[in-house]
Amino acid sequence: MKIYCLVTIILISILASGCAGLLRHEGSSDPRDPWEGTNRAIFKFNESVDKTILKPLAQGYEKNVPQKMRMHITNFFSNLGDLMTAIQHALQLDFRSSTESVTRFLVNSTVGILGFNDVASKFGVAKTDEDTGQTLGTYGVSSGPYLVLPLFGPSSVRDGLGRIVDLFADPLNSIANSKETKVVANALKVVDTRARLLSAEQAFDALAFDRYVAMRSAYFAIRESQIED
Amino acid sequence: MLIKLLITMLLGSVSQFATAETAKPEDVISSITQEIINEIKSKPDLASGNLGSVNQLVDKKVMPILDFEKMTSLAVGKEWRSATESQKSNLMKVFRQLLLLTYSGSIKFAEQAKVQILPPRGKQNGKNVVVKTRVSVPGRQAVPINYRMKMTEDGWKIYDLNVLGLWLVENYRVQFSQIVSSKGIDGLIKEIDDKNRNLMSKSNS
Repeated sequence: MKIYCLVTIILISILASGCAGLLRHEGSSDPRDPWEGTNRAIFKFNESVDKTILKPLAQGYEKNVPQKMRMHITNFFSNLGDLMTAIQHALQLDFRSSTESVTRFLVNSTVGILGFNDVASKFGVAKTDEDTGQTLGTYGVSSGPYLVLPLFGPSSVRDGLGRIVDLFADPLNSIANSKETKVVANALKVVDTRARLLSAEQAFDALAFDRYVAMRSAYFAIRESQIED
Repeated sequence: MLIKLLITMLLGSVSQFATAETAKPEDVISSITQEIINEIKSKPDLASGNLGSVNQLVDKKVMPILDFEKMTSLAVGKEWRSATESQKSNLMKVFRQLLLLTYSGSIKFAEQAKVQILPPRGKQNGKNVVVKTRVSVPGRQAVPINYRMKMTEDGWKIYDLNVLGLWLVENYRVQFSQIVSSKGIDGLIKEIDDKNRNLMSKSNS
């Protein structure tokens, strides 16, 4: 009996110290980020990919492609995005916003010539953005732990799953008829997105004394406000 | 009857006086954002983010409606009380520069921006309010910008603002508290100052 007790105590203490070690290893300053150690490693990887490849590409794009042309390209991707947003609004039972997004898509695809011009904004139909993660959020699904995705950046368990759904449902992949077009179109979309973030870079630099911590708080704050609206 | 009339007249004039004296917080935001946008539209070097001109604009238009000491003290956190007067004034100096650099890069969007003030929702407690606005630039989803305001002796003053859901002072408080606990107040002043220099050299290149 005594031996059993002793063994149990030893086992528990080993387990406890093991757990403590694990917690320390992944120890976090924020309860929403239990996997901070791993997340930080992926964050570091993403930052170096951005610094060496993506940001220089985006800067070159901004420098060499005329502003008007870039605007048309942004509008084109944004127009396909409106179609997705319309579906998400409908899933959130917000039919008024859904109709607005459909209107934007129809007007911009026709009068705006395949979406290269955002005529709808000029008519006063404002742009909105919704994704699967936000839709899940409006149904009360909580974000779950913070998750930094390789290449895709800050996310959470809920939003990461949403992201996969969004990627598969992206109309860009259904209108691209060959594999090559798909690759080129998606690459252009990534560069376009990154180039538009260049202007926010100084603001983020100024907000961030610890880039990882600043990005994480910004992510949660921004997602929360997107779901709320 | 006469007394009653007199009282009503008196009360009426008092309440009239009160409304003239204290503009509503929404009106303060609405007039100041419009003034700033007009200023940016009329001065091209402002729109291009020239730091000297932005600095002047901030002094002239923005500082008067900020409770900047409160902003800085909230960002620094509880250690603010233990800071000396000269540390406090240095903190305010570097923090002001940091905020300037945070926003000067976005000023080029202000030209096409439209600001919509959202009607206040629910009961706002008298001396502390949140004013919500939506700033829209054609072709982009409107950006929510909200202001925490406080009634002071000189009228309504802003002490925190929220862009896209992120409260500015809160953002800094979390990070500053880490720096203060490891390097003290002087360490924080130095760290902010270094950051400012770094940002300025980047924006010049």
